[in-house]
Amino acid sequence: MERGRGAGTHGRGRAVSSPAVWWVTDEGFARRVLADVRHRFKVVPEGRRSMVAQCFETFDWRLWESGLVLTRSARPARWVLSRTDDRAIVAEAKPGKAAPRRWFWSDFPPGALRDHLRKICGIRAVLPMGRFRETREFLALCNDDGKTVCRLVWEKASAKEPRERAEPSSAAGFRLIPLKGYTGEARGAAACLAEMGCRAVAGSDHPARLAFAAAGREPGDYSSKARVDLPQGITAADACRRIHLFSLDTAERNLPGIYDDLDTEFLHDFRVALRRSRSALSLVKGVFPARVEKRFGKDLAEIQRATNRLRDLDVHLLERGAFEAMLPLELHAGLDGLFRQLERERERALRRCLEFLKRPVTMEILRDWRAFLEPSAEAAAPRANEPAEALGKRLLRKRFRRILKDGRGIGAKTPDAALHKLRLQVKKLRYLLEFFGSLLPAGETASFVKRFRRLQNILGRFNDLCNQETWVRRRLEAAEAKAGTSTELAASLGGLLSELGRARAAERAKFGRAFSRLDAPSVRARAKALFGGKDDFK
Amino acid sequence: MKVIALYNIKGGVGKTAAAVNLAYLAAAEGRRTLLCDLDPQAAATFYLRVRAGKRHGAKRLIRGGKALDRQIRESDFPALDLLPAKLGFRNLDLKLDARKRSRKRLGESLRTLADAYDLVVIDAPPNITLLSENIIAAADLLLCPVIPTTLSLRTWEQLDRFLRKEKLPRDGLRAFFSMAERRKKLHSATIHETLDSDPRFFSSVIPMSAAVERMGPERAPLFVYDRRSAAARAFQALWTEIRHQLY
Repeated sequence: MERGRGAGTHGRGRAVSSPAVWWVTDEGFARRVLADVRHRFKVVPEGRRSMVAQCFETFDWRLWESGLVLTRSARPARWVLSRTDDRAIVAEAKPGKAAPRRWFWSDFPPGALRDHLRKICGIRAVLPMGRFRETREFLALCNDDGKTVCRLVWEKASAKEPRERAEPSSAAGFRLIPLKGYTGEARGAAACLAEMGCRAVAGSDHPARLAFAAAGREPGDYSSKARVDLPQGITAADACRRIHLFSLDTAERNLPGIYDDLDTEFLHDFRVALRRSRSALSLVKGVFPARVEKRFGKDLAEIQRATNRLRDLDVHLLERGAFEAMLPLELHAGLDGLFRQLERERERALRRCLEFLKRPVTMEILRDWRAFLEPSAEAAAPRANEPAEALGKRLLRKRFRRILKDGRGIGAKTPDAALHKLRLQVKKLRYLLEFFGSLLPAGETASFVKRFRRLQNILGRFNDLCNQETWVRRRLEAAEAKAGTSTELAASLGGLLSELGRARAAERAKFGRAFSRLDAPSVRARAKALFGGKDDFK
Repeated sequence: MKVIALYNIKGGVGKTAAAVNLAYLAAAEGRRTLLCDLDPQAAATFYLRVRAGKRHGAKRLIRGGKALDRQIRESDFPALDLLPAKLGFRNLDLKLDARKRSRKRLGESLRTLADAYDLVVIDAPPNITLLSENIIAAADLLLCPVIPTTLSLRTWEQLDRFLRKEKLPRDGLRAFFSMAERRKKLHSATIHETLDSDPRFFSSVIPMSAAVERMGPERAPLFVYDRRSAAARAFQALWTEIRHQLY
């Protein structure tokens, strides 16, 4: 007898006591388990539901890392943001008519879902990443009165794509949904499953995993954070190869996203990876043959240069919100035209950048670079066989000394340029820590990096503000030179300029204190302990 | 959170059937609903296949919060929970008496569940006691099922007088005709006359129906086994009226 009761929405908003899922891989075994459950309880089928869901995720797994999965199903048509572990629904929304190529948080209808996505995904787009089909069979376990005391959901999931795959990956399991006031009975059912040899898992086996796998991805397989794990005792040449290969992999993985212009972070991460490699080439001399250092230093710089214009425009377009926040409402109108103009400029810049990146010559550079980095390459350089640890520590000592020297020379009247130089030095130190950090004691390194973060943030913001100011000033000059420029635009830019100048001065005022925190005996002692050597950095 | 109490001084007027079916309809719309069976006969509890508790629950009912929450049972239907009747509710009047502000205790206790429920439907015992006064004070809508007969109408007027005399709130006092038999001339005439003269009556009339009587053997709300019956349609119409009144 099938009882036509509304299964499926049960347990909504109610905590499901964990472990809630009992994975069973063999269908025959699952049937035997069900037969045994039937002995203990009266089992009433409550129907089955099948649905296909499309998973959406940012390229760098921001939702998954926050313990969430975003899906869109067609019947019923809705977006669902649910937790990966117990699959509780965090937010949902009806899809609107819009069907953009890639979804930004602002493309979602206003509401809780959009708010969550804004906070978690920020400027990253969510991209379709595989589909899965899930069938759920609802079974009510009843007592002698015919009252449901617990629900057993038999879930079967499989990846929907790709079709050509002979054996689709799939998973099946039982989920127990206790009813309020009947926890004892739910415990009994759980004990029954355990007795039958079912394995309880505490979640994290969301069917979205299957969809991701079918789409060729695995949660956490990309992160913009660089950390190369080097084994102890590795030689300098091998260490550098690994460091460069890691950066090259990162750069190449971002290329498709740049080609399709999915969001601005593909280009950003691509550029960071290139810059990291270029820094490594210039900081760690004498490990690769000189001609290799020279050629790829030049070639990578050329690729990066070709992306400069597009990145600058991306940055300015992303600054819109910040700019508007600086200006009173009546001055916003002037910005509209400016940003429309920027959009047009960006389209041109994108075309040009893609042309460059897709050139056979560019592809050849990356191919050659990889060919050189892959093992069994020549090692005829003076420092190739030096232990990487000693080399890294020496470079770190040198860089830290330099930072202290430069920073101590900066006073209230020192020109801005000195701060910019110092920022680059700090950045280089950070790169070196990323490269060789795995050879140093982890806890010590982390707390050392922490000491730097504040100074780095101040210098970073100071630099951003200087760049913005220069850019706004140029735009203003260009606007004034051109006849027929709206006074609105000039007023907006003028207002921005004075605000940016004020913010820049405020940021600079923070420098002295932040630097003196870094130039403290405790930090110097830690640096000495970490980097070795005899230098006390006094 | 809103509170509806089904109440009549007279028993056997279709009070429990109305409480169960209205609670079911509210829950089916997605409102988190708690049906409180405060009638020691425990008919609502029986309809939802829950066992009435043996241990006396009066103390917990008055204390509210976690103690009360632990008594609640999830029904077989989405969003509908039940506070089962307890034999101990017989002693409730004594417990209430022992406390100060004894008329407001139940309302205060129910308010502790305001985060968990959108609606509470109370199936009240058919008598006038301190518990009834608590129920009346707690209800946003005091809903009185009335059989269209002279005797039943008299109890409705008695209730009205009682509220006035005891200075209990009368704003939420409403009624509807229950167990009506259209073929009986007296029923028809009473319904017409009353609906014309007393605006506190909802216009939906619940018919006397075999389908409703089957709630006993089926042990389920009417809508589970016969959603097309005239009675089911009447309950649906009544719920629509009530919803407009409440929200």
